[in-house]
Amino acid sequence: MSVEKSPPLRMPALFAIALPFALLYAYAFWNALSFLIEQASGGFGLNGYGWFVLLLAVAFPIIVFVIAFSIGWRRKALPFALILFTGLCVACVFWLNVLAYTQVDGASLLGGGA
Amino acid sequence: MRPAKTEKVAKAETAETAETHWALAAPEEQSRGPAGTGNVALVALGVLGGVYALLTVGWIIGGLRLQAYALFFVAPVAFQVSLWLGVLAPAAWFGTVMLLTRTGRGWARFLLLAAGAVLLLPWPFVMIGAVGA
Repeated sequence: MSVEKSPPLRMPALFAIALPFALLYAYAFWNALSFLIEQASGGFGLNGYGWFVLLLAVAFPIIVFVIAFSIGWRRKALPFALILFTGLCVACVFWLNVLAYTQVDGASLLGGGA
Repeated sequence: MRPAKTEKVAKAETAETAETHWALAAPEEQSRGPAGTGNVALVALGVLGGVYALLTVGWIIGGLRLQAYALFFVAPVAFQVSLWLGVLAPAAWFGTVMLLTRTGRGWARFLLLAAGAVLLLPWPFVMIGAVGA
């Protein structure tokens, strides 16, 4: 009811909620980065489009975390945690989309020379 | 998939008739504030709930189809986490939007729910299909 008008979370509570989620977002980040490195150093290398798509997949968890944090950090604990969780789910959805795209049309990303 | 949708709509319709009876019993209560949910809004929420249920099913099927391919490239645990968080995404989005738009303008709820339905389209299911490429 008074979600927006409630006093913001204090620092320890803010960190206690945000930090575990930040670690999970970071996991998604490193996961995408290892995929990028693997593909870029593979036999075919990446072309410009491939770099763009896979770098976007690396940046996406960070972008989503920043957006989710900025939406949620002035709210109560439960909405804040829910927003961060939803953002994590969206980041995973995007990651699965990228993986599916590399399966269907992965050849369009390769060929820059290793 | 379809029964879930019709069930939700039926539920919304039951709520609608119940609300109508209630409104007949107490006509002075008919003009409620912006917090009250109208009949059209209830039915629309039921339909959107059905759409989100279909999205969840699409993520389960599409994600599992993707699994065999993805495990060549991604660590098994990483893929499992991504897969099931992706499956939870429609429910999480729906719940979060419902929670955050309890107050404020009614159209914001529907705008966010419609945007989420587009954002959470199960592309693995759309691109790979249910039976594999």
